[in-house]
Amino acid sequence: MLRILGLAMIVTASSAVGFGFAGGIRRQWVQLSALLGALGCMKSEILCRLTPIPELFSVLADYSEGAVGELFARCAAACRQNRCSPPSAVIKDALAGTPGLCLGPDARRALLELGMALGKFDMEGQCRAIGLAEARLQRELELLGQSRRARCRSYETIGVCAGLAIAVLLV
Amino acid sequence: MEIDLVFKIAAVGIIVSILNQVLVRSGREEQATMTTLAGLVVVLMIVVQRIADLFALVKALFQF
Amino acid sequence: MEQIFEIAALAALGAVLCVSVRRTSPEYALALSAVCCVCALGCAARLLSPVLSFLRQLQQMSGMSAAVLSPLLKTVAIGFLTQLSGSFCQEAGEQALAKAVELCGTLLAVYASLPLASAVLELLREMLGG
Repeated sequence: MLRILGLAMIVTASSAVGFGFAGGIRRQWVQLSALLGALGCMKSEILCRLTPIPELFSVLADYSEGAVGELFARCAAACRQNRCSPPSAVIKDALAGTPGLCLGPDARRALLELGMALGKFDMEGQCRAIGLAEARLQRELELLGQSRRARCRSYETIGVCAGLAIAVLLV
Repeated sequence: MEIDLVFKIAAVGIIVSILNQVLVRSGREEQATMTTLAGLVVVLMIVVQRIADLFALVKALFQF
Repeated sequence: MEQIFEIAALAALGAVLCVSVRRTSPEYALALSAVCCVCALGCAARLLSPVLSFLRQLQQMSGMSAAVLSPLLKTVAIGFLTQLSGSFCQEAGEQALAKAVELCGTLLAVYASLPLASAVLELLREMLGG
């Protein structure tokens, strides 16, 4: 009985690891979609209201949910704490410090480059920078969307099969 | 009689072939090859152990 | 005598599993068949022990020297192992390797039977008074 319980635990643990990786892919998809929505909102705020950067981050924190909302909330808090910090440094710290953020290196680089453009150029320049970041994130979202299902299924299958193989060998 | 050993090797073979196909289809051929080789090494270790036991038995019985 | 049922069941089970495993991984099918053969032969070989003890008793009763029986047993063992490994090689598709193993087995069997040949030669010499 104990042996069967141990084997079941091994298979469950390994499957959980596989499903965890698959969940990470799904979270990445959701966060990229939320980020694209937030960038759309950012463009509208800058075009229509010329919102200052600290308030812009607060608006985006309220607009977005989950880890993306947390990211912008950290940016807003950092701007309130130190008004002299450039947006690029604020975004860099927030990207490093936000828990549960599953963005790839390309998405992070796109956000950092957007941070370097914010507050430096005129309205048109900033909107162009936001458009460029949106295009990069959209491309990454499309690439992820094409391989998402296959990757999730393969991570789940690998997790279950690895658990079964270890269980069979240990029996 | 070690029937569970036979099932163990068959199960490892089937699981490794499933893993191999999943990895090949997701484009990771090197990892698929490594997984197959790892499974083969484990199975060969079991087989070699059993063959060594058989040879020891033959040696003892036939006075080699 | 129930060993024969166990061996038959093991062989049948092994054959069925080999057929299903061979489609996806031929190397695992070979390993599986090797393990089945080794387990079955190991089970049967243990039963040879009383037979060999009986042969030794006969040898002691007849007053033959150990040099007569020992090469005989060694040749049997060499033949047994040669057949087994030759069959594995053929199953793996390596005909040349199987033939090489059989050839080595033949040569080693001849080498193992040299003491017996010497004993026979000695006996002939004694009989011919030379």
